[in-house]
Amino acid sequence: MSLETSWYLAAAAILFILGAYCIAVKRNMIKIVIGVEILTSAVHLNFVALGSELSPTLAVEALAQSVVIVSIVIAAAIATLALLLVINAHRHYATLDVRRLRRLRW
Amino acid sequence: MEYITEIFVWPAWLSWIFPMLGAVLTPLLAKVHSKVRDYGAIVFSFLAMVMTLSLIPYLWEGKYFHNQVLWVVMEGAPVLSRLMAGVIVDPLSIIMANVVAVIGFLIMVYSLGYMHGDPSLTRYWFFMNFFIGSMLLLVMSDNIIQLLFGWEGVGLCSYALIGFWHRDSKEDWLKCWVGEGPEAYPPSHCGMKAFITTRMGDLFFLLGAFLLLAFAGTLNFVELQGGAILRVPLAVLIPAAILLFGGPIGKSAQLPLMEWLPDAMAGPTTVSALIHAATMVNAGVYLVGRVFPMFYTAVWHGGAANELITFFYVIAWVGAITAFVAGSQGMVSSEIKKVLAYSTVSQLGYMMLALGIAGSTAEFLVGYVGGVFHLMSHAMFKAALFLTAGAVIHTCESRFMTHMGGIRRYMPITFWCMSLAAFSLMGVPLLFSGFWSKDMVLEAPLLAGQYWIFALGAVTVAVTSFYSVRMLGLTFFGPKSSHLAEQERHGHHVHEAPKVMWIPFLALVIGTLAFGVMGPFVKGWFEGVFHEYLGELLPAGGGHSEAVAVHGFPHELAVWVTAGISVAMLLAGALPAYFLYVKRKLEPSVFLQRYGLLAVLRQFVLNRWYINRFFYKAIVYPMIGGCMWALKKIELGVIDRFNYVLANATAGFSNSFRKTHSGILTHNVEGIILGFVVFFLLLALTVMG
Amino acid sequence: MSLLVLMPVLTLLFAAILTPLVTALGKAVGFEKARDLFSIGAFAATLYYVFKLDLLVKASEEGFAVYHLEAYGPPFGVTYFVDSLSVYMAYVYVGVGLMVAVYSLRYMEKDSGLDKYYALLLAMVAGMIGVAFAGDFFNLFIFWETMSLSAYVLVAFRKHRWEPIEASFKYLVMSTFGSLLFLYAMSFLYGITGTLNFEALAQGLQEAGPSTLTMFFLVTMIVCGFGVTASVVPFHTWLPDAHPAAPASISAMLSGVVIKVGVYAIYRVLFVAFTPLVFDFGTVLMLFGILTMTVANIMALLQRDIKRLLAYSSIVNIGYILTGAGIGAYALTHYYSTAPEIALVVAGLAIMGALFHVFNHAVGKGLLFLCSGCFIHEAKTRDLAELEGIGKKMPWTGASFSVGLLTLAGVPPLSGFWSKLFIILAGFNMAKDPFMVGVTIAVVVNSVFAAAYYLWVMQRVMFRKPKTRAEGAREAPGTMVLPIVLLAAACVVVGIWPDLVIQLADSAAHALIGG
Repeated sequence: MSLETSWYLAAAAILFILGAYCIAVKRNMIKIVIGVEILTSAVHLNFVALGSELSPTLAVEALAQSVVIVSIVIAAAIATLALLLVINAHRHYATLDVRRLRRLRW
Repeated sequence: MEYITEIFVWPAWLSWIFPMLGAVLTPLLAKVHSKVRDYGAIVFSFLAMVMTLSLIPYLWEGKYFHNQVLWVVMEGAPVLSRLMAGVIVDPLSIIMANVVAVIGFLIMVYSLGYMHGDPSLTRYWFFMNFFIGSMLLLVMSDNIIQLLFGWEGVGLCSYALIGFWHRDSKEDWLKCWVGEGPEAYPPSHCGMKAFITTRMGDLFFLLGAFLLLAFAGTLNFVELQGGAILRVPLAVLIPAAILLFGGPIGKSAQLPLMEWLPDAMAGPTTVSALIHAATMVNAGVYLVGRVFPMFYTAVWHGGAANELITFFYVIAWVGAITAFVAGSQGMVSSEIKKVLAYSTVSQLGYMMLALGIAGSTAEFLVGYVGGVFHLMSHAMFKAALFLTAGAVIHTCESRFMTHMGGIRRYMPITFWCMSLAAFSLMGVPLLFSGFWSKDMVLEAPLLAGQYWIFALGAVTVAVTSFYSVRMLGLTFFGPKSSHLAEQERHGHHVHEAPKVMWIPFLALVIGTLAFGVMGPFVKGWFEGVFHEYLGELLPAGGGHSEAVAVHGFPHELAVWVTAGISVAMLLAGALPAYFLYVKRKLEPSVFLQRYGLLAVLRQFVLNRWYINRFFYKAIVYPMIGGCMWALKKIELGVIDRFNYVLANATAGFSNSFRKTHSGILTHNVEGIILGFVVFFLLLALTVMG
Repeated sequence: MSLLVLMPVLTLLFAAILTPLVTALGKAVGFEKARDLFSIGAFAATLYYVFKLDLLVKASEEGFAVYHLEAYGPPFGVTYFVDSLSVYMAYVYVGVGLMVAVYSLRYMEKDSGLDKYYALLLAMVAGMIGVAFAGDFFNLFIFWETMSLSAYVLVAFRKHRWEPIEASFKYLVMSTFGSLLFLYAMSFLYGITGTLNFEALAQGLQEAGPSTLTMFFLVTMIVCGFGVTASVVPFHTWLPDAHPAAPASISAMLSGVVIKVGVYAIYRVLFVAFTPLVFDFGTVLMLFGILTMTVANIMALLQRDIKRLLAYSSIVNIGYILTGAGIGAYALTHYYSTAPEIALVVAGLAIMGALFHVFNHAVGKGLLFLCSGCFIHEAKTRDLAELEGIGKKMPWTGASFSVGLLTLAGVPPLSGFWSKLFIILAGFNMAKDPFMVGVTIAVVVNSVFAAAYYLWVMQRVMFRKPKTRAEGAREAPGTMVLPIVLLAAACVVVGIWPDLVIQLADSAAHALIGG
């Protein structure tokens, strides 16, 4: 594994931890959605970096690229859906604080 | 004996399938209409009767058959790997099945009137038809296992029908409770008592059957008497035989398990007539008759098996003593149905006596045929007696004879039928079937040289006629009782039974008269039929062991001696009763005052020889006490408390644990991360060791 | 190599796309139910294709059927890989889906936007079958997300109420976190081995050297990622919110089959790519299985909401299925080297039991949720205290509900009894191992514990005196009762002749572990 790739991997790991932290700690629902996006980006970065490692001669590695592109599309769908839910939640609860969304418990 | 299998076998199977089907259909028919249900039930019992009647021609033809189908296959089982179900059609089962089905049908018809308007009739018809089906299954079975299904089926029906009025309400006290004073029981108690007592006998019966099975390798009657029984070593055969006898003792209410039958009178009178007089109680006698050939084979063909004769003596003595003890109790009972119940026990004792004697002598035919003949004639006249008694109870609304009296003018048909049936029970000569059959029973011990048994039987004749005349006198003669006067004040007059009730018992009385008039022929014919059927069991040319060949009275003499003695005893019992209870010339209490011993004896007998009380004191009450103790101390004290503690602790724990599920998304995600870490650490731990 | 492999997924996907068109056409000719019947037809056609595929797989020599593009095959290209395990799962998915579609015919008729409802339902089942038929991670991921996205929307289908929105948001965030976890693991696997094909991965991982921390990390990420959807404790917290919030028909899908997709993915990836002969993941799986059933049991005990109770009971059953997998993997890991034949038999028994339980729970829980839908439809409440005695008013539904409860309680002779029995028997086959004895006893104790509240619910719903709300209830319409009764009949019939399913489950189990 080249040194360059390791940097990418480390960056991806840090991003991943950041994203997880964001989801697990932040109260604002929009921030949580952003956290999910950060997580997604971390995974994509990781994928692309490892793909480039596999085929150092080629600029693009086909499979990794395809996965990431498909995943970006999916992530967009998810983000849309999540934001839609946020809007509806705001309609019902009049807040964006995720801690107030606790009528369902136990 | 020749077995023909290709003969048309369906009637034998259908005879018990039809009533079973009727029982199953009863609840469905009840949905249609109550009338459909009532007549439907009767139709099915009628079909059963038609099926059994169609078997009668085989008696004349002398063709008997045995048909088997595969029932259960247990590969690799040491015994009974291929269990067959089957029917056996021979003189014994044909006679018994006809007794069951014909009397059953008549009583079903009678029920239409007697049980009219009862709210639980669906249950009633269900169990009546199920009873007839089980009984016919029992009779037709060719092996002990199949027989047991019927055997337990009739026990279940008996239990359910004794306790038919299971609410035990005090309002029905006059109608369906039994006994007085400390020994008065409600119907549900009586049902339980009957069930448990007979189950005690069944337990021994089962053990005996297992013993036989273990050594003979089969429980099929035909195979057993065809030689399989000889595989059982003598040391096992005697205990097996005595254990097997436990079942009949319970079912046929012989000593020491006789106490349930008098109390079984708590059920509707139709039930008493059908189950506890005419059929189910005869199942015990029938079973002895059924296993008789195979044990007889074992005694007389299995080498010097003199010891096994003890078994037959036990049967004979148990029968004789029961006959006397029960008869004596009938002399003092104040309830009309209980008199009949004691009489039933007593007559069953006669049958046992006859079968027992039959086994102990090489010339078994007189005893065996006597037992079977008595079974048949008893079923007829005792069913008639019960049905007439039911008519009387129905109209007087009381089961106590002291509440009746002087009603013969109001219900002449009932009076005459009951009198004729009672004459048959007493054994009034020549015209009544009871005379011929009872004489055959008494002839047997005389021929076998068992003079003590004969004496006991003869004394019982006097006892029988005493209580029969007493019952007739108290019920129909003398002045009207205060109970009836009270009833008339309420505008309720004693009246004749409706047609649907008197036709059945009239039919039964005509039957018993018919058999009585043709008595000698029937007797001879039965002997002929059974001689042909069981003839091969007779030791050929005195080849039996000499040691047990007892020579009693010569045959020609015995008939006349028996007849003479039985008539004398009949008069000895009937005349005092006639003056005391019919003419009412003498007051019974005067005698009791004058002769102190008589009063003591009366008291003793009235207390049912203390047998019942002994069982309650020695077994029932300690048992209940022990169980109550266990309930209080163990069930409530330990197990229940533990359960409550466990349940409350779990609920409490659950309630506090639920708080961990806060419902906040943040916590949920933290849960995922925590799970991630734990999983990783555990995985590392297990792999790294 | 047969196009038939694609047919189930394609049928459903095309049907999903065509649903809006059919709806419009139906409206034009004035027959609105056309779209309902169309989707029922699509499910029926799919069931037929699955059946044909089953025959194909059985007839094939190697025991599986493969489809991939000629030019773009493994180890790089996407592959459809169908063996008897895939077929078995597809049967369960499509069967429950068909029942739910029939049920929706009347149950959903008062809702609006039904074209979307059916399109999403069809797409969700297409995704589930796609996961079962996927031969590589890429394929699996795409169908996984198809299924998940449809599920999120379906949970929030009645978006005018607060409950579906809250539940769906929690579901979405947690489930996406889970799928990103396994996508992350996927990227590492790809980096290490250079392929995403399961078969090729297995080889590549063995060459890479199994017992490194990276590998543990990857196994953890995969189990946790799929575990969120499979709702393994402690990743389960979305489930008791999301399943009750959805319409009852969707609850039946989610609880009955969608969570099984998560379990299936764990099975497939762990047993094929990380074989138990190399990795000792069985122990931890068992521990998490026991934890799952215990926690869920405790949570279910005091629930007042009938659907929430059923949702927790689904988690309990996931616990059984996971434990079954754990027992199988444990047997292979620890006993294969010393007694290979016995280890294979025991593992086969455990996994067959677990797969059989997948079937039983899908049928039983689908049945229960559909019944609860009928109850709620009539009584307008989910509170068990208010629903008391309603079974008396709705005899068919009530009786089927009892059958469902009894089969999940494991009462013989219903089907649920057998699957639990096989799992427990497999555990006791290793009775010399004290750890296994402990695990098995834990399963038994949990079984008994679960029976307590099942029977309690049955007593309340069937035997109590009806309360005011339950008093007015009437039997549900025929097309709602029909699937319920069919599912109940399946419980009884399979209970009496377990061989019907055991044969399928057994070949599925052996497709997974070989031998």
